[in-house]
Amino acid sequence: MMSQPNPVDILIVEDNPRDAELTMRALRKRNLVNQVYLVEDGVEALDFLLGQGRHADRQGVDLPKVVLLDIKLPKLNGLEVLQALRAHERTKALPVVMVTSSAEDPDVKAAYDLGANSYVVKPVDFDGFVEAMSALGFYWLMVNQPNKK
Amino acid sequence: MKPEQLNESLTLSSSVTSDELFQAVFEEASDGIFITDVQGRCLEANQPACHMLGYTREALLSLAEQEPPLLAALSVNGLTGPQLAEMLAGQQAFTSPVSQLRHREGHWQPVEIKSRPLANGGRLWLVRDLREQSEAKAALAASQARLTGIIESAMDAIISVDENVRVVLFNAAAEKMFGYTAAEALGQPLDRFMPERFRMKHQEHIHAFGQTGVTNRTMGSLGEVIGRRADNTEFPIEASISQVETGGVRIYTAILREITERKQAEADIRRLNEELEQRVIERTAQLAAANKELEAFAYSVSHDLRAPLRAIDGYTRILQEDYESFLDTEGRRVCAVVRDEAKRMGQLIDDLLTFSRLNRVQMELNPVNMNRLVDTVFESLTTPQERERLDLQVAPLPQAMGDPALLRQVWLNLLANALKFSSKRPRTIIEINGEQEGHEVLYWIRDNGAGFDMRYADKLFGVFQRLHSEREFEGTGVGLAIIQRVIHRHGGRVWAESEPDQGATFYFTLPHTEKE
Repeated sequence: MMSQPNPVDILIVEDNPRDAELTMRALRKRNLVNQVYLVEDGVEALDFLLGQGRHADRQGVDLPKVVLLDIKLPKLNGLEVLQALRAHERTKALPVVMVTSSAEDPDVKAAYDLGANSYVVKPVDFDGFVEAMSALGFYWLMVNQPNKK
Repeated sequence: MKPEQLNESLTLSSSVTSDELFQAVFEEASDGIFITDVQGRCLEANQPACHMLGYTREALLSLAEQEPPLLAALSVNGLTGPQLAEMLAGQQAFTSPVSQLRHREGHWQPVEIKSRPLANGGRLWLVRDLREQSEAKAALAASQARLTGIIESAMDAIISVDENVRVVLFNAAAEKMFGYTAAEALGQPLDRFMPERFRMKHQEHIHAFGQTGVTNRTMGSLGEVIGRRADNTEFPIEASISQVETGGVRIYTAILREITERKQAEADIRRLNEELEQRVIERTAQLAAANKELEAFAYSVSHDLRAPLRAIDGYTRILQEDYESFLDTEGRRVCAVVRDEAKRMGQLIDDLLTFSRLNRVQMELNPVNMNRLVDTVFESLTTPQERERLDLQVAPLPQAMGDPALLRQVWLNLLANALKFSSKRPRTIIEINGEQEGHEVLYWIRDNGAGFDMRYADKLFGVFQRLHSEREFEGTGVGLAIIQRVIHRHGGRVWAESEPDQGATFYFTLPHTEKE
């Protein structure tokens, strides 16, 4: 994993190492993996994005172009992270895509209510998963017009 | 005997002679008038008198020579004939209200007799027919007796009071109800029969009632009426009150029924209802709790079971891709099997979750446009190219009451099945129709597919039950279970008919939109 405070295009917040590996593999196919950083829990995600705690050295660094945020995480869950991000001036408008196993309605509604930009369910089959991840990466990095600070 | 002798003291100043006056009175009187001589023979009789005796005047006067008929036909205070003659010899004027007169035909009639001696030794008789009167009296007595009988035999207490609210009638049931005899109750104020604390209110009501002049106002509108027995115990009463005015006298009548038992029954019902409601609340809470658990379970399944499946599929893919050169044909086949099974498990999980959700979710009943629903579902299941090969015939379908989301699931599964099982035909034909039967609506869908053996029809709707092998047609066996659960929740029925290779028809019923 990368540790220099270079700007990162995609922050992946995922605690499942299997899913993490498969996601990286998918993004690699699209040549997007060089700009990817992975954190494993919600607290580190906030530290990274807000430039505090463990990642205090990222204070002045540009934000990623998109955060792929799983819901089920240890310590802080994805919805709590989202809420915190939206409460902060710095990360209020940061594109966040909830990437998660659950298609249960309360989660979807809560995510949108809290200000998620998108909600994607991880397909069980790998091909579908690859499709989804690489499409996501491609869209947010290549297609979407980022917010200018 | 000349008439003018009778009117000795009569003086007239008009042009009418006393003669004419006497004649007029004699003939026009309603009562019978006789004049007899010293021996009691009838000298004169007016028309009513003749009628009473049953003789014509001529016959009556001609009979005078023989046995004096009048005395024989009279019974004065029980005296008749010679005894009567003896009494008459005393020469008195008398009135006898209880005398009898015998008709020529033999029957005795009740009469009132007034008689006075005349100057010449004869007698004047005035006879009043009491028959009508006595018949009226008898009828009245009978009517009284009947009325009293009714009042005394009534099951409800009947109490009447006068304008001063004092008891004037107190029937046997009232005696029993209150523990007073009628003798004790008569003349008492009505207050005596109710608890002290109600007396003021009662007085007001009686007066208000009297004033409005409304008859038959039921006391139910006065709130609960409570009676007080002679032994001071109290009991609840249902009462109706009426008033009547006869001969300037106003009487209020209350008809009372003791409702202790009824009140007890009402209290019991209330208590049972409360208990029932309490039980319902508890049961509902239990159900809600159970549902919550299921929800948590489903949530967990949704997240936690899918992730490992994804890993199995994904890592096998890695094997296939990165280690392709290390795998022979068999190795590649094995990898494919692993991936297929992972996919299948994913499908099973999805189906189970759908099935579970259908049980938990709150149903919202609306009138549903079935044609629109069917069209939408069909479009979502097929591509335009596929629809070329298909023949879908949907008749105009009646509306039904149902949850649109759940019914969508039903049509989804039915149509998916129809499509799947007819996929091997050169041309798929699906018919959908429906009709209203009473307060139910019946729908059916028929395909020209593989059909099934009716012998196993009862397994059709079981969860994970299949009537075809995985090799023939893929599927998890949950689709029909889902349909059945939804339809049953709507209060409908679902069944199927088929023959192997002859297609299948699935029927289901739903309640109609208008609830009669």
